Parts: sequence; C-alpha cells; structure tokens
Amino acid sequence: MALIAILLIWIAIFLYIWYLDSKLKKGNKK
Amino acid sequence: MPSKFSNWVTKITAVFKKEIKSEFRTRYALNSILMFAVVTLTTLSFTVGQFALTNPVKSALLWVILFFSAMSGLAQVFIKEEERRTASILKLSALPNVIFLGKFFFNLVLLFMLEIVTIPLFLILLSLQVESWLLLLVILLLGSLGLTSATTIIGAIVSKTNVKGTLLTVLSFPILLPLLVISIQGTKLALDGSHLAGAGSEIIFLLSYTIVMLTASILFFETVWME
Amino acid sequence: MGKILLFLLMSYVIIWAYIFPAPQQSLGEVSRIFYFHVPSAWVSVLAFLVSMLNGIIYLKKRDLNYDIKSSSASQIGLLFAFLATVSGSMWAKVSWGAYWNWDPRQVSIFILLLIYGAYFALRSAVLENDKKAALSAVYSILAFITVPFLVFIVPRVFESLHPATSVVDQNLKIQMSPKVSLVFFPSLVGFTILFFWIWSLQVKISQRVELKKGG
Repeated sequence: MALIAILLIWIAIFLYIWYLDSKLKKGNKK
Repeated sequence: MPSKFSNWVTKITAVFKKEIKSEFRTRYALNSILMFAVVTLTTLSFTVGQFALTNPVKSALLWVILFFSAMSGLAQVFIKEEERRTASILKLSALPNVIFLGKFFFNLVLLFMLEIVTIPLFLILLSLQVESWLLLLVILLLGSLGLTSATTIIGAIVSKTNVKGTLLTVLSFPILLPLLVISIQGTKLALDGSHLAGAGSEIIFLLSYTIVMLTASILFFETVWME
Repeated sequence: MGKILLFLLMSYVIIWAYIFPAPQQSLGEVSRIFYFHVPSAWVSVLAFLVSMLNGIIYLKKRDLNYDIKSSSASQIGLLFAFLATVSGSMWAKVSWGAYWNWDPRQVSIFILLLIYGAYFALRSAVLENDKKAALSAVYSILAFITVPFLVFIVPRVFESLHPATSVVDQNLKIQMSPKVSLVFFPSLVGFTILFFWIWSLQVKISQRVELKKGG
C-alpha cells in the first residue's frame, strides 16, 4: 500500500540524514 | 542646505551628460535597443498583425517588446565601464549615489527615446485604438520609471560578473514581473477607455514599485559598485 | 541536543502515518498530499527568508560563513520549492484535471522557483567568493522586497481565470476540521525542524569543503 511505501521512503531519508549527521560529528571530534 | 542639494544635482547632471556624450559617440546602446524593437515589431506585425487581437493581448505584446528591448540595451551603462576599464576612475570621481542616479536618468532617457519610436509604430502596425490617451501616457511613464529602476541596479550587479548577456534577463524577470503585469493591465485599461481613476490601483502600484526599487537601488548600489 | 530533535521528528512522522487511514477532505485519498505539499511550500519560503537574512548579516560583517549559510538555505529552499511545485501539480491533475492551471498558488511557487534559479545563475557567474557573496546577498534582498508586490498581483491577475482555488480556500479559511489540523500542524512543525536540521548539516558540509579548498 502507498502508506507503507511512503513510510519506508521517509525512514530511508531520515536514516540517510542521520548518517550524514553522525559522520560530520565524527569528523569534528578528529 | 540649498547649496548642497544643488551641488548634488549638478554632479548628477555631470554624470548624466557624460553618459549622453559617450553614448552619442558610438550610439551602441541606442542602436541595439532600437534595432531590437524594430525587428520585434516587424515580426509581430507580419505574423500576428492581420489577426484581430484583443486589447489584453496587444497590451501584453507592447510590454514584452519593451522588456526585451530594455534587456538588450540598459545594462550597457555599467558593462561598458567594466569593459573599457573606466570603472576605477569613475569610482574615484564621484559618490556612488551620484553615479547611480546619473546612469539611472541616462537609462530613463534611453528608454524614452525607444518608446518615442516604438509606441507610434506599435499603434500603427497593430492598429491600436487608444481610448484613453492620458492614462496610456501615465502608465507608460510610471512603467518606464519602474522598469528602469530595477534594470539599472540589476545591470550593475550583472556588470560585475563574468557572464553578462543573458544573466540580466534571468535576474530581471522575477523582479520585474509585478511591474510588467500591472503595466499590462494598466495599458489594457487605457486601450479600453478607462478614466485615470479607473486605473487608480494600477497607478498607485506602479508608483510604489518605482519608489521601493529606487530606494533599494540607492541603498545597495554602493555595495555592488565597490566590489 | 540533536537526538531529542531527531526523536521528535520520528514520532511526528509516525503520527502522520497512523492518521493516514483517517478520511481526508472531500477529494479522496489524493488530498493527503496536502500534508506534505503545503509544508513543503512553507519551507521553501522560510528558506528564502533565512537565506536573505544571512545575506544581510554577511553584508554587515563580511564573514564568509554567513554566505555559506545563505546559499545552503537557498539550496534547500530550491529543493523544497521544486517538491512543492511537483506535489502541487500532482494534486492539480487529480482535482482540476490538468497538471498546470495558472492557479495563483501554482504561479507563485513557480515564481519562487524562478527566483532561486536566478540566484544560483548569479552565483555561478562569479568566481571570487567575496564578490559572489555580496552580489548574491544584494540580489536576494531585491528579490525579497519584490515579494509583497507579487503577493498583491498574483491573486488579482489569476483569480479571475480559475475558481479552482476555492476548494483549497474553503478548507483553509473555513477552519480546518480538528482531525485535519492534528496532522497538518505537526507536519508543518516537523518540516520546519527538518529544514533547520538539513540546513545545519549542509552548512557544516560546505564549511568543510571550503576549508579543504583553502588548504
């Protein structure tokens, strides 16, 4: 169903952004 | 202080005269503007002139021609300074405000000269019936003022870039959109025969647009000019 | 700090997802787009505002960091403006039959798209960073002051052509039904928080890139 599809897309986007965020934070700690 | 103000006016006039003189030598900007307008007009009248166009369409066509003609000619005021390397000397010789206003009035005159040629041609070639001349002139005047004020400052911005040509059109279009739309509406009203009062909101709009644009231009010109 | 915000976002989204099954406006399933389309448009405008404000600060302080903030905001604004335009035309296709209708709202978001496009065209035409920053800032201010005029003319000119907006207007003006508000406002807030989060990330990334270039 469309609902599930959209939820999955959102989770994917969110995780990607979170990934970028933590990567940047790691970079700072260096 | 009266002497300060008249001093200021003298300086602006000096810049203005310089523009006229240098333009007169080559007539580059004037030529390109006129050529553009004539070519567009001719094309339009050949292709579309035979059809019965409605007033809204004719009004729109007029301002389209004016807009693109302005695009082809009004940025020259600043671009030529950069190209001929006279910009630095100019920066030293006068205050930014003075330079801007001098060039602004030059652009205005340029646009008026364009209109003196174009409007009659336009009226004839597209067989326009103008019911309300006064309103038409007022709209043209106010619209030209607004058009020039936005174009001059954006022309200054564009002169500092590497691209110039089409950039002026790209940058100007969103900014000029309100002006164009209301000018077209006002022109249509003039063609239809409305009184001045009937186009009251258009007139006020055009006036406020011009004032806002001029104020912003003068505020920010120095920043742009000094880059 | 970030974590709390992140968690909030997650929960908002899940709320949206659960309320999905609830019946939406009279137009059927497609109207759910409303919850994403309007906040997208809102974010694109917010981004424009943020970009312009940072541009002004740049002009005052001449600190290139503010230019980074300004252009990052514009990048995100461009993205959301694009999303808003696309989602809007999808909605339009279903409710009004065509992707593009010269509806006032469609036109205004399109103009915003043009302004963003012009902004980046200007930036790409200048090589020196400080020149780029100053010129962009001035242009975004000029574009911003145009907005009140645009807001005035767009309804005037385009309203007469389409009664289409009345559907939207009805739902917006005649108070959203409680159920709809429950989803819409969190969505709005969620999108806003999302914007600021993505913006801060983009700024950090750009700053890194600039540092590398400088070195």
